[in-house]
Amino acid sequence: MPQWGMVIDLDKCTGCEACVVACRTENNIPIAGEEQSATGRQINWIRVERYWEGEYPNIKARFLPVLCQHCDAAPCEPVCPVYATHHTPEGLSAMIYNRCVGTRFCANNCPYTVRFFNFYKPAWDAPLERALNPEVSVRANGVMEKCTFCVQRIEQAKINAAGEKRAVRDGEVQPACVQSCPTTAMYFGDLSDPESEVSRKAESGRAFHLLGELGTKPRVIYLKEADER
Amino acid sequence: MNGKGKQASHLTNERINRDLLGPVLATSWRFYVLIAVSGSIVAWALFAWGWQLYWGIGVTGKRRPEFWALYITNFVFWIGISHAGTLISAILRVMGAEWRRPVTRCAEAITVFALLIGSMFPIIHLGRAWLFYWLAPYPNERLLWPNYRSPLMWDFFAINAYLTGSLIYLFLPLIPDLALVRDKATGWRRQMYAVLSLGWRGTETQWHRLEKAVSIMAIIIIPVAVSVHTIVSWDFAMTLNPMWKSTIFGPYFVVGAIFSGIAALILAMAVLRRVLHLEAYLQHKHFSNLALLLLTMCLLWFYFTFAEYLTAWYGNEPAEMAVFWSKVRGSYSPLFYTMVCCCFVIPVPILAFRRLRRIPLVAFASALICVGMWLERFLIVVPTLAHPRLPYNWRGYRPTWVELSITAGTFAYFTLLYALFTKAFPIIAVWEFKEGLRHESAAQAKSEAVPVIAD
Amino acid sequence: MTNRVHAIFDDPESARRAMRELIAAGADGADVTMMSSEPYLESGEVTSETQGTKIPYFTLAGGLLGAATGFGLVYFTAHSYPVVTGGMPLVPPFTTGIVMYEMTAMGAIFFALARMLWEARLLRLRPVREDYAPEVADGGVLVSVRSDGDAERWRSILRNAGGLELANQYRER
Repeated sequence: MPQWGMVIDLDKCTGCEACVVACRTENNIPIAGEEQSATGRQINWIRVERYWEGEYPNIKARFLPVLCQHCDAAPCEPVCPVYATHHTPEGLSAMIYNRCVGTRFCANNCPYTVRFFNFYKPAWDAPLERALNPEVSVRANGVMEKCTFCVQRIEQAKINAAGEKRAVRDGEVQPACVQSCPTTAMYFGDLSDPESEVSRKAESGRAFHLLGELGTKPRVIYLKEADER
Repeated sequence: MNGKGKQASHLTNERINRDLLGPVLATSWRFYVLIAVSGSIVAWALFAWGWQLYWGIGVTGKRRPEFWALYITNFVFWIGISHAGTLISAILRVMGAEWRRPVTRCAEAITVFALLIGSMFPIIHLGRAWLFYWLAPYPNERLLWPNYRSPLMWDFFAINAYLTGSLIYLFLPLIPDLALVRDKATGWRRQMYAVLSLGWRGTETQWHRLEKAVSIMAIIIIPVAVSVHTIVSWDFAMTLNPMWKSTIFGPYFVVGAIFSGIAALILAMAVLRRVLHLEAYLQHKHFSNLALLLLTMCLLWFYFTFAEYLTAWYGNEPAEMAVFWSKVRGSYSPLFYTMVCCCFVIPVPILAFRRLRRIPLVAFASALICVGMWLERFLIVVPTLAHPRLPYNWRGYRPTWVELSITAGTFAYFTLLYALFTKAFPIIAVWEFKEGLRHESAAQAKSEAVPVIAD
Repeated sequence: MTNRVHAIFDDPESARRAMRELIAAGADGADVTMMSSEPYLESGEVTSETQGTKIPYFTLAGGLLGAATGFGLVYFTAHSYPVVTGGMPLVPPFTTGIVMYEMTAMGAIFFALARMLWEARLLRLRPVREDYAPEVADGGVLVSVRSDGDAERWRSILRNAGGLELANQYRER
């Protein structure tokens, strides 16, 4: 059973946010609009956090693409009273939109703040509502949502592979963000397969977990030069 | 029929019946005004909630990362207020403190209504509030059951247990008084009270069983009450958030709850005393004793708050310090210092010095404490959520008219329910009060008898 | 409808004296009752009707039943549907304990209430019409004795003990 994981190489990330745009398009993420974004209601399943370090003229910009880490010990999962968020056997932290009643406890318990709530009915400016992806459900008013590692692409790859009576090949599944990164800073694959690209990259000496000291055991591994971390 | 001779006090049986049953049997125009005013505020709040149900939670001020704000503040506040009844009625009854007698029903009524209002908020704050019943464990065709690992499910069980217990604990000592009103009322009201009093006649068996059941209930309800607010505090303490992930939260919240509960009780008693002319029943000694209890709770609350802030500050962990400084010298500092003044700085001298411990000042201190404790709940919920661990996501919070309307509506709803309660039932337990007078005169007679025997 | 004789007294002591005289004159202890608007339990009782309550036992039974229900709820519902919990225990002791705690309290409360209503013979409105007097609300103590045949004897004993006899039953006003 594949154990999905992702590696993000921060030394290659330019902060271009192509992954953010690709994710929105792939996953039917609603448009919040200018006013609602200013209030903080924007939904970005993956976002690029930008931090400034140092004083002029020695300023450095740090880019950190943050998405749901699909933690093995996810703090968001035990606190949902209706089991709307759960863990799949393949290691994804999955969301059942129909079951969510909107207590927002999961969002409070996520240390990465990667969970999003539909404060209003999801809406798109015309004519973007015609560009929705039919393989991804559109969420309702009052439910939580977050990155799913493009589970629709994972399932499609598994169906194709089963049809051809083979296992899923390494690199066959690419979530929208991984696919669209111009510097190929993101990798996705099976962490339980020692030959896969993500497993080999994860062994690098530059690897670290975001907020790893909390013990959430995330499945997203970041790579960064140690002296600049 | 002029009952027993009351040597110990000037309160005859007739006078007691008249004073305490008067508000039940007769209505003044002021009552209707109060109902109209609080009713219209409640109606406005209902409109605000309907607005929210239709448009979505976006009409409130909540945003990412403050997913919980005013509604959860109100939830914790009202569940905290509900601890008044338990402390006064149950603990004092178990300890045999005689001065509790006129106070018990005021307190128990506060508990029941505060619980009813507090338990509305987990439904109000839901994104899909019409599906709130999915938190209940009931068999369904999808074979789905709720997740007992969630602190919200513990809330569900704890609040239900406490609400049931408090309702029964309020109702049981009410039965003899309902029988009293039944005997004094006429027409359709007599029929209504006859049904409500369940056929009470006051036989020795009935009195004995009633007292037995009430004392058992008192012993059961105390651990339930402690567990309820502990479980509410664990809604926060079970998370990984800075300044929430604190083991002190269980006892801290229980102490804060009892603190705010006694303050609310004193305020309610002071208002009732003035409006219903109960000066002979709610005397200075009751307020004085409650004020001393309030002082104890105030000092305990300050101790817990100090311990929590000191350990956060001393540990100097960046995520926690971000929240800490936002409260102590950042954007939340005006509210923080208001809270400290309202909860500690101003009430402590009023409650500590006997010359200042008079009913109007004590009531004023209690009102300040209610305000301060509401602010305390707000300052527990919002600053932590406004400063998550990844600083890119920090954001401020501002409530909207929807949240403020619903908050105001719950206060008005409480007033409304309480006023209706004083109209329907005697607010002071008549039989308990008379029993207390009898015990008092018996104790006085005994103490007067000793020198005679020594002669 | 049983025939009863009623008399109202000023205070519990004289009422109890009258009850003792009635029992000495041959009335059955179970047929003599005293009704008041205040509990006078500490000044002793004439009949032993306040002994032998089973409310504590029922409370305990209710508590145990509640604990079992709480445990069963968590355990059997967790095993009935194969929800994946990502490596977390399916029936954790702490959370099960919390649910059991609250259900124990609820069970104890319900059983105590039910037994109390049963033993006090509440939830019946007819005895109020037949065996009660509104003078009790004004502070009097009512003594009631079943009077199949001995009505005159009881009446004279009650009168001699200082009671005011009540001719009619509880009237509808």
